[in-house]
Amino acid sequence: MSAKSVAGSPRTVAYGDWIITFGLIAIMAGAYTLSLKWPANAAFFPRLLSAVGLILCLLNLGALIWQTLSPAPAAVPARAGGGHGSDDVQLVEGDEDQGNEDEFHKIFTRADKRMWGSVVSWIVFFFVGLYTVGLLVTLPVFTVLYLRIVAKASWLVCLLYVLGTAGLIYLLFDLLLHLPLPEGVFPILGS
Amino acid sequence: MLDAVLSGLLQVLSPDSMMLMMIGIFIGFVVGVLPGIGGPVAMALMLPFTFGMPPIHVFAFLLGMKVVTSTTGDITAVLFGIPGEATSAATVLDGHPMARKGQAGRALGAVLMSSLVGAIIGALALGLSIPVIRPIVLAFGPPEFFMLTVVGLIFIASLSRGQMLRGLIMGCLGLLIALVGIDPQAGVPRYAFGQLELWDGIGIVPVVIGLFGGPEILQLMLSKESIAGKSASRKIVGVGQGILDTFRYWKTVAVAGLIGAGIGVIPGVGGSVAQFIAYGHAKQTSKHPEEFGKGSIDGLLAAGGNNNAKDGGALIPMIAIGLPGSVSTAILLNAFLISGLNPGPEMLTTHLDVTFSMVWITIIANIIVVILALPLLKPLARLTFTEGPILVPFLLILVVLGAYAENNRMFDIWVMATSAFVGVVCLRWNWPRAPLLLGAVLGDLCERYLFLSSSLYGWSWIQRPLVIVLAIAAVAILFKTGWDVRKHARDRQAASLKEVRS
Repeated sequence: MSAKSVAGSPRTVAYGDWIITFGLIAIMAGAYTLSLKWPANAAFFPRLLSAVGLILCLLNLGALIWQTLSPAPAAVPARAGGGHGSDDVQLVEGDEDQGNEDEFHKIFTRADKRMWGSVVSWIVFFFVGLYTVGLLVTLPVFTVLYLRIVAKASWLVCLLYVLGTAGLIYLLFDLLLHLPLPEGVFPILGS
Repeated sequence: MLDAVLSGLLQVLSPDSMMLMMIGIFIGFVVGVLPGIGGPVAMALMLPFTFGMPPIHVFAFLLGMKVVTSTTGDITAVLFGIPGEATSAATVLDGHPMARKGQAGRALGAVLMSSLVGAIIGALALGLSIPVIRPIVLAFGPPEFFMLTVVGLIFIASLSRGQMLRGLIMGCLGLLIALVGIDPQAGVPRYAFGQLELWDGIGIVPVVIGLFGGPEILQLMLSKESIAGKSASRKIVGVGQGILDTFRYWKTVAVAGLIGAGIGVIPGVGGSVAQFIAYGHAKQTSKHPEEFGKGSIDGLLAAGGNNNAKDGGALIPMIAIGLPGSVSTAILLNAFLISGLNPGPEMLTTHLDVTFSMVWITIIANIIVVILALPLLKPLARLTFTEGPILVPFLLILVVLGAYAENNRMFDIWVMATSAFVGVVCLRWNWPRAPLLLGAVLGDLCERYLFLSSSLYGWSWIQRPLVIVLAIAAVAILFKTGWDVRKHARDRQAASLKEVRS
């Protein structure tokens, strides 16, 4: 993935901000509208909150419009060796106080569509498996496939990993705490 | 009183009590490491085993378990960025960045030792407050509690420096999320959209696991690197340094402990708010606030020092007036009643030895857990050097079970997954997550206290002196943050101009 293809330009960031702000405006307005149907004492707090939230969202929208209309600040020349102005991901306003979140922000902005596609496919596979056949089946299948394909682990590592994880879960959930495990809608292995 | 202090200690040190405490500590240690299955779940599951035990044995077992889960919950927060409990969320903010820099050993050492010091502060606060606590607790009514929740929320939003507006919006969203479910006053389902699962509301555990743990797993899947990163030194050092840091920054730890004990007293508000207030206070008083969130030792110590101190604080209203401040203390209250004890004046007179035994259990259990955990820190810290893809299946299972364990329903797993999506969106576009979490924790309480305030006092509650003091504090926080942001922006602009000119 080329660093220049990074989707972290201010324009993209603003694009995300616009969507989030409009989404939140819709949520707050929807929350306010729904509260109109309830009795006064049940509606008072949600109505107050959604009204305050809506005002704050509109203020944020105003700030976004202001940022868009105001002239861009003078660009700081890029320094050799990376940093904010270099080939690396450009961080948005307010980032410098985010710390660890900077790294996550960089990783999430750097990842291209193929990487996102692969990760989302694995997650969907895991959750669909969990929903349909439950944890007892999904755990070994997902673990072995993920470790073999993504982590390039050996069969032995996969086997030990599955046994170790399943053993820990059995000990803790079944023997010690007597807690049920997610079974799924079509459980292959019984409860 | 000294007799009661000594009698409490001797009863705790009896072989039976110590054995039960060790069993409780073992269960608490194992369970506390797993996100979601925190102290309350473990205590609820173990409560039936306490039938027929003498009171001090019951507390040695249950309280020993509880205080340990608070400490071990911090371990996953530091290592994997997945808080064991909602009250460990602030530990993630600086503990996990330290682990990512290869300083997991130092972070774990610091968080363990600061937890111990915090626990001692909380226990001392409990011991010292016993003679005077009743009038103080009773001076706080619903209006004061309501204002405290408002101050807490504003304080959290103020932490998102440069993003206060976004912080307040996320706080409002969190509060709205907390309102989902049956309204306690009118019995109307709110924001349930006809879904029966939503009538019970949205659980806080799946939200916290998803918001903080979800993005961590996703970044491991995307980057395919170890948590500590390639550049970090693979040598596990710094456990001793972390322990020493606790004493080097003793003021931060002590203040965080006092905040934890003080806010822990407030029923319902407790640990979730206290951790962020202690963290925010440490940030505002630190010489290096810019390092907060990037792996600041002050920030980690504030979160750690606060975490266990709140347990001591939460016990105060339960013992003094039978008012549990959290789910854990509510379970302990059950244990009180099962053992034939009545919270209130009896606990401060006839059963004073039992009350002091709880102080001792808090201190002794924490010392034991630190001694037990120290040899485990290096192997645990090594996990941060394991390749990301190797950890992914285990962490996925961990967050799923954590979300599922509390209520045993699939719906909570979807809540966790949705929260993870929201967490990723927040990180991708720089929207703060902490106010959302705190809003979700406080929403229910905030509404209840507001309703009680207006029902009991009409609008005259606004004129109560403590309410006015708290309102002034809220406005002061807003102004101070605004001022800091303005100053920060000016400094940054001046620095950019200087850089352009040079």
